[in-house]
Amino acid sequence: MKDDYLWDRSGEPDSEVQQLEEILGELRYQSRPLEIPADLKTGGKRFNFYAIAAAVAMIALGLGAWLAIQKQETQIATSPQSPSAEVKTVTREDSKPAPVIAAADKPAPAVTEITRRPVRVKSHRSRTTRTPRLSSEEIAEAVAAKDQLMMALRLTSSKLNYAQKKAQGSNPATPVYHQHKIG
Amino acid sequence: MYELQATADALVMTGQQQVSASHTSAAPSVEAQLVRAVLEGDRDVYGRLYSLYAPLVHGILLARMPRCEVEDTVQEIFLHALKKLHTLRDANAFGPWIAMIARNRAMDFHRKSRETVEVSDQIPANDTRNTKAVEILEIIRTLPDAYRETLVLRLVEGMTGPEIATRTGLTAASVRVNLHRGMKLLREKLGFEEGL
Repeated sequence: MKDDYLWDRSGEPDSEVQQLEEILGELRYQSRPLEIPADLKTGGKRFNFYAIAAAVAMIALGLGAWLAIQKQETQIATSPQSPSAEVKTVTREDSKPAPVIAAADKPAPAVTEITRRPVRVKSHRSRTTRTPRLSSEEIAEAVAAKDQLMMALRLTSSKLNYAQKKAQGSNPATPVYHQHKIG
Repeated sequence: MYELQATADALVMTGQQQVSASHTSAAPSVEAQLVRAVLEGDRDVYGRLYSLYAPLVHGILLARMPRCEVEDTVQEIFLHALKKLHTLRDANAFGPWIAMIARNRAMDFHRKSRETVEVSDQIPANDTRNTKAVEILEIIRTLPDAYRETLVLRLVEGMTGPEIATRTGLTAASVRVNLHRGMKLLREKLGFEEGL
């Protein structure tokens, strides 16, 4: 079959195809050696280089961060315990953004301590791991503050209860207050 | 290594020999082995890939580009492929991959030549036979893309249908259809009844 010759050169030869093969064969690829430049870099090697460089950079960064954390922790551990006044100012500083108000109550050196303090107690870990050593005066003061806070909370709670009852319009003390008169 | 060389030689074979050889031996893909060897740093092996696939790339370019540009472009494509070989996901697909690079390069050439100067394909012919070949090639280039590429690979590069299918990654059925429809159109354009 003629088609088979065109497909895989099997079967009966097709004279027209043969003729075309013969003529067009003149244009066939002439073998020529491939000249690969010596400095030609393949992408794979470059990728390996970049991967290694990136890995080294990541390790260096990680190591640097770890060393910085370690240094900070050792600084906190070796630093002397702060006096009670300073601890107080730290809590104030955390709650109030304006240091000028806090500084008005304290002498000038205390203000500088206030500005430095948040940096030292920034870490959560140091807060949880360290147990603060308080003097008896500090403990008494803290207990008094706690009592005051509890009292304030109780007052607020009772006021809220009263407001809620008023809003609902029910007074359990006088249940017939809003009823219509009979007769 | 000898096994690698033998399978490479089997691929270079054409026609019936190649078909029968592929049936008798269930050898692993030679392209994959060669590609892996090149990626491992053996650049000499790339010469084997080049000799296997240069006719394919040449044929694809010849179907689309002026003949004077083809030789150098073949070299450029293989050097580019060597640089980008690590991006080839399937080592078995080297043929379809480099065929696609060649098609894209031919498209780029036309895009650039449109912007600059129209390149003529008037080659200084050594004899009348060469001139006739160039004329027929010009007629083939007027055919649709799929037909002209398959016809050039078959009639110019001397590859068989199964070889074209294997190297380009097309199905055998597609190649067969392209060959027959392309040949039919070419016969009409050449007017075979008048003789060549």
